[in-house]
Amino acid sequence: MSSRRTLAARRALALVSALAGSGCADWRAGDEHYFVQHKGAAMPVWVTGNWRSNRIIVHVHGGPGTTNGIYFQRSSYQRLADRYGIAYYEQRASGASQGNRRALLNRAQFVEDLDTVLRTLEHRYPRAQFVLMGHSWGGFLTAAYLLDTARQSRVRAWIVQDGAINASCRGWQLGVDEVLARNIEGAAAFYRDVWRCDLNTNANNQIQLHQGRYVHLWHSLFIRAAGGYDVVPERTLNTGDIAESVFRSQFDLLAVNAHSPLPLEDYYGVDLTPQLAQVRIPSLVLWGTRDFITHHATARPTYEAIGVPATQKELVLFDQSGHNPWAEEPERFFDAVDGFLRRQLWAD
Amino acid sequence: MKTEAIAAIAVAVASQASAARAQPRAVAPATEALAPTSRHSIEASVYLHQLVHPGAQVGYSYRLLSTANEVHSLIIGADVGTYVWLRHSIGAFVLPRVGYRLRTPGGFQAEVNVHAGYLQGVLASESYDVVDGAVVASGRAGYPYAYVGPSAGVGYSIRAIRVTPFARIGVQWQLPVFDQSLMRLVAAVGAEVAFR
Repeated sequence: MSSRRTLAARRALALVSALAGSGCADWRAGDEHYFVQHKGAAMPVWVTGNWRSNRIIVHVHGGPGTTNGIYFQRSSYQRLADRYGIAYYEQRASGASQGNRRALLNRAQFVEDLDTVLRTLEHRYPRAQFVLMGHSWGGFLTAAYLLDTARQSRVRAWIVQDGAINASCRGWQLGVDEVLARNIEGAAAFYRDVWRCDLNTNANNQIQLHQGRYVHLWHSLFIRAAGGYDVVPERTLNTGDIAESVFRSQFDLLAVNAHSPLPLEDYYGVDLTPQLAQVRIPSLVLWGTRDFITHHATARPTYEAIGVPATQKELVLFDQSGHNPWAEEPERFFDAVDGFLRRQLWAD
Repeated sequence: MKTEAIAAIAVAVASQASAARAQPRAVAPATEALAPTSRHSIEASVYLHQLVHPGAQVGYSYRLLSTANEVHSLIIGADVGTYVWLRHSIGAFVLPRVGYRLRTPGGFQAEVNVHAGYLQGVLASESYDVVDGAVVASGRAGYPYAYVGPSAGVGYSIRAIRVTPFARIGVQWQLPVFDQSLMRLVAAVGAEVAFR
């Protein structure tokens, strides 16, 4: 009887622990969490890892409209968190951010939000140095942020991975050509009858609806069908990681389906590459050579356009990766980021 | 004391099941054996938002319509509850419902409900904003949402003590979240107590 009671008590304790642990996936002792409330959005900020080193990577997720809930579990980010602090913030109308209305979905507001997040980080960690790291759409957003000299002075370095720096129609067309070359079912008709993206004027219909989905989402689906996101998709999202993110984390992975891609203004049809000469901080450009959505052909132009000498910028290409080298080649990814930070900023 | 209570429940369940088996089609005697319960009941349950975020709710139900022996019933009611999603939000809701309940003479019940109410989300951590270049604390403000969705459940009515343990599972749509509707899986496990 006693052993039965003990067993029941253990099971109850395990259940309570599991429930109490929801929201705790990969939470480390000493981690901090707060929100930035700004103009109708509450954007969560999770500062994890070794932030006491006063070396903090501010992570800007992709999308627009996705989440940090797909990155934090990976060994690449876990190893970075062992050495540096990582501040994951969810952008407005994305992932686990909270609010009621889709107001202010434009590039300028997202830049302002990022600046607000950085100011709160400076307030909470006054001795810290910050590095901006943006993936995909986050690459575009961080680039747009750095185009302002005063804002650029808040960060010590820029890391862009498979960034949508060239979001012009010519940039997207590189992916369209890859899809069409692979005869994906339905693609030819879609790009002939639905897709509008003028290579000269950049007039486009990316955030117009077609059969209930944004045109850009259809493009993303065709890119995925063509294998242009991941060489091995399970390396980026597998069942276990999804379950952990949905049921055990602070993130709201289910919200991503509702939010992404956001109908963001002043993004689709814009190429920031010519303006990158204004970026005058050490920069690291990371790109998968199988990436069709932010096409790998835009990697070198991005690298070359950055306005610092070659000694202060690096380009690393990942041969076995598509859009997500952080997931497909995590060891090389960590080595590239860590090596860059050690060489350019923090040798000790 | 606890053992006696368990024994009483066991006896009640056994005698109720025995009565149901003995005269499964004898309408008049069964009516006598299964005296109607009150139209009013209250309930308390563990509430699981997204199946893992812990919470609790209490509710009141009123049997609006029912057939003989309460085999088929139309139930209206409302629940108030709360849940905690660590590092995301704390939710508090008021959730009126209307439902259909099938209850066999043996006590087994199945139900379907539609819930529609109000959810107040409160931020799970402190917050900041930047005003005129200065970082200021913003407290833990939250956001109001509609909370709407169906559920289905099963239970077992122990008439002798007027208690019905139950379990429900369903989905609730939370809206508007940046003008979108987010689906949440929810579950409740608890007990209903009918008034005398």
